[in-house]
Amino acid sequence: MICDKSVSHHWLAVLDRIEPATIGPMAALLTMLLAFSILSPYFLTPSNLTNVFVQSAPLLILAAGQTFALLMGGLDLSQGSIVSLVSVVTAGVMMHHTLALGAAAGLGVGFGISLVNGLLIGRARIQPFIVTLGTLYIAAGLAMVYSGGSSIFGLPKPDVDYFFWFGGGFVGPFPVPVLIAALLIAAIYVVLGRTRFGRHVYAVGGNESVAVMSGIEVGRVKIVIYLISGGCASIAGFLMSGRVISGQPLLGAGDILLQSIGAVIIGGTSVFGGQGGVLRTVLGVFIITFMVNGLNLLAIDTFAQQVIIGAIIILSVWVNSLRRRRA
Amino acid sequence: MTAETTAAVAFASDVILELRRLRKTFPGVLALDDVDFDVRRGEVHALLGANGAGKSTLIKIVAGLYQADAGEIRIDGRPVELRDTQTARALGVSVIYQDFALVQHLSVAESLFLGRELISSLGLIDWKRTHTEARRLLDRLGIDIPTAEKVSNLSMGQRQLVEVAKALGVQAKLLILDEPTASLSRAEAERLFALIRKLAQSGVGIIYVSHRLEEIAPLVHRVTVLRDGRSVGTHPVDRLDRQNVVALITGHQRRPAEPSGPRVRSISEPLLELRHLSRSREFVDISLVLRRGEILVLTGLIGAGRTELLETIFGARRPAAGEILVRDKVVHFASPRDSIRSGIALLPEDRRGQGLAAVMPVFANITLASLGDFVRRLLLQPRQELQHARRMIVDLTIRTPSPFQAAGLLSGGNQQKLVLAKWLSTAADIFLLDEPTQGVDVATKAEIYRLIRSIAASGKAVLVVSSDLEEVMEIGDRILAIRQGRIVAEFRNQALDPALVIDAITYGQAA
Repeated sequence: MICDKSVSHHWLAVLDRIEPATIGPMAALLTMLLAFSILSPYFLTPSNLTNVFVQSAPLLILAAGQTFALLMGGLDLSQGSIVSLVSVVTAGVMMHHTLALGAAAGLGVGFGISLVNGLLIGRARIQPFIVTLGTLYIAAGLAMVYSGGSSIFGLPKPDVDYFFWFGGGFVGPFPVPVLIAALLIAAIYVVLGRTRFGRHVYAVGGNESVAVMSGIEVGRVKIVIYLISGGCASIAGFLMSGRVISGQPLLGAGDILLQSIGAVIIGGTSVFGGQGGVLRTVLGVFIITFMVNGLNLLAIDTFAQQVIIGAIIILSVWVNSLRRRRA
Repeated sequence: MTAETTAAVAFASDVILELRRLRKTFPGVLALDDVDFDVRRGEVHALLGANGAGKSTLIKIVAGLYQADAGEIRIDGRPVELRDTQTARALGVSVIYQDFALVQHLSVAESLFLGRELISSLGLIDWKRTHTEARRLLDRLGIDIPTAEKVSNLSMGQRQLVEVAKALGVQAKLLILDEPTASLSRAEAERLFALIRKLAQSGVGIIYVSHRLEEIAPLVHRVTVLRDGRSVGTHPVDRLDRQNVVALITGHQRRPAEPSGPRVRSISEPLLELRHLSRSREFVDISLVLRRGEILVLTGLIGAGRTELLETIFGARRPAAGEILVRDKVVHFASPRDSIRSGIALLPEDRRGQGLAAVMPVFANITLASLGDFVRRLLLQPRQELQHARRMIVDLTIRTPSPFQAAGLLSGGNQQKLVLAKWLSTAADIFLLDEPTQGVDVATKAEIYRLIRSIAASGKAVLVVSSDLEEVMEIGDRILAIRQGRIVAEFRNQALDPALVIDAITYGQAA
């Protein structure tokens, strides 16, 4: 039996602690850090590390939101397109008005798409894969239509400086996007571990029928899950646009969506739902970003990097399934 | 048997399946205890017994699904080892389970040749031959269903016929039917019987598992009755009558000692009342009153509409007609959420599907329906939550190494106690328990009975659905017998003869 003493340091991490799923990714990350430190003299320098953290911030935010979708046994494919749409709408509105209005419009549109996801999944009960595949196309298309397919540059001063502050500024020694990511992750950690809603997310992912039969409003839980996932994508889109001080219709069209899902899986959250947590996702994100950074320093090209990341995703799920089978 | 009939002797050299001293144990349960059994060519052999008597264990061993712990199995006189279902199938054993194994989206012809598709010289499926062969097979059996029809468009009876045809397509020597008429109409059942007769005449040996001998008597040659994992004898069907069979199935069952503690007073207030509740094809005109402090047991055969009734009371299904009253007020539940708020709890029959989240830890399963009690200023209070979970674990003697253990790793009985703990954590005072001790070992069974009694004794009301006769007699204050969705008899559990209950659920009106 666990005595009460151990409970006191147990209490926050209750759900993350059920199984030692974090040991694998943790070991992988440490091995990687060690290897890169030995192989490259530039790896363990403050400027490189800061750089990695700044680059990690949008992915951290996206993947933290994606964690909810995977925990309920779904996924959110529309995150990348939401990033693009938020980017062009924010910049487009800002062009003629203020940053505040641009941010409100951009984030508003992002949350709007998320709400559509949530309602279709939670109320119309369509599979998350189908719904978010649809909104992936819709939001990406809307971003192209709104921007006419070209980037929106030349944002008015002085608002453009504030805009950049969100994506590339500093508070003391801390990069602003990293601070925002840290705050969001802390909040999500508390939500998942310490609120009723968080527990309901695990219950819906663990066994939806049981959740219904226990009186949980499953539809509403799903709506909130997709609001959070898309909301995180909106915030990430805003920060990324600030960093490039422009609206980019293809800002989220690249790797970032797959990295977001990949990071959650690498971290050890179960794709079947019900098991995992946001701290695992943080681990997954750092595995991906440090891997990319280290390989860049070693001058290994991006195509080879994709091969390696793909292999890591499969490996991590395989290791997890072996552990489950033994249990 | 002291004397075999002459007809049986004539068949004796033609034994297809022979089981000798078959034994099978599950943790805590002796499912089969030295059972002897045989089936002859061209014979329909009925296997009867109450739920839990060992019928399904026996057929699962013959099907290769389970392996016997001891004993011998001979097919066509040769000892065989049925390691898996493929081996059994290769030896000519075909089983049709209660929940049929047909794929909804396939056509009849596709279903008949599933897994042994007819291939053309190009390596593709030969559709023309598939349909002509399917037609020939169906015609031979006198089944007039179009081969191109989708399974999903067939009635339950037609599906059952297709299942039989499929089993015969693989040249079965021995066909096992598990309660095949449970979901069939009278006419559909008659067609199935005609088909079974035809098969028997062609030399197939048939094991027919059933609860109802009367219905199948004209079909059957011999009857074997199992009770508590033992064979209580094989008899030619013409030597048995209704009284006989009921006596064999129930045995000389002693009434359990009068349960202690306060008994029901019919003057106590009604908590739940059903008035003429109906749902098409599931249950009809159910009226009952459940009072504070009482354990009311609803018993009947599988498929009698019992689970559906509980789910309707719980708000997971809507009634087609009739009223539900909770504390004398008519209620209309849109979802389980509403009924939980009215103080109703449901322990579902499908424990792993609806009762607990297997990947979640024990403590989180316990508090799942009462999380609001542990929230202060929007945050869950883990200390209180764990404290509560630990108390429930101790109170209900849930055997788990820690509250953090994944619930799916507990044994069946402990999982069941866990689901009870979940509902005992809420303010529920109307407990609906659906087969509360299914798949639970004997020792834990007794603990669960104690728990159920203490729930009732604490002033709550318990409605139990059970098909385990011993359980019905053990815990019920009142017993309602349900047959084909209707309540056919009510018993007060005082010096009650269990045979009366068996008779009511099997044949309808009391004899």
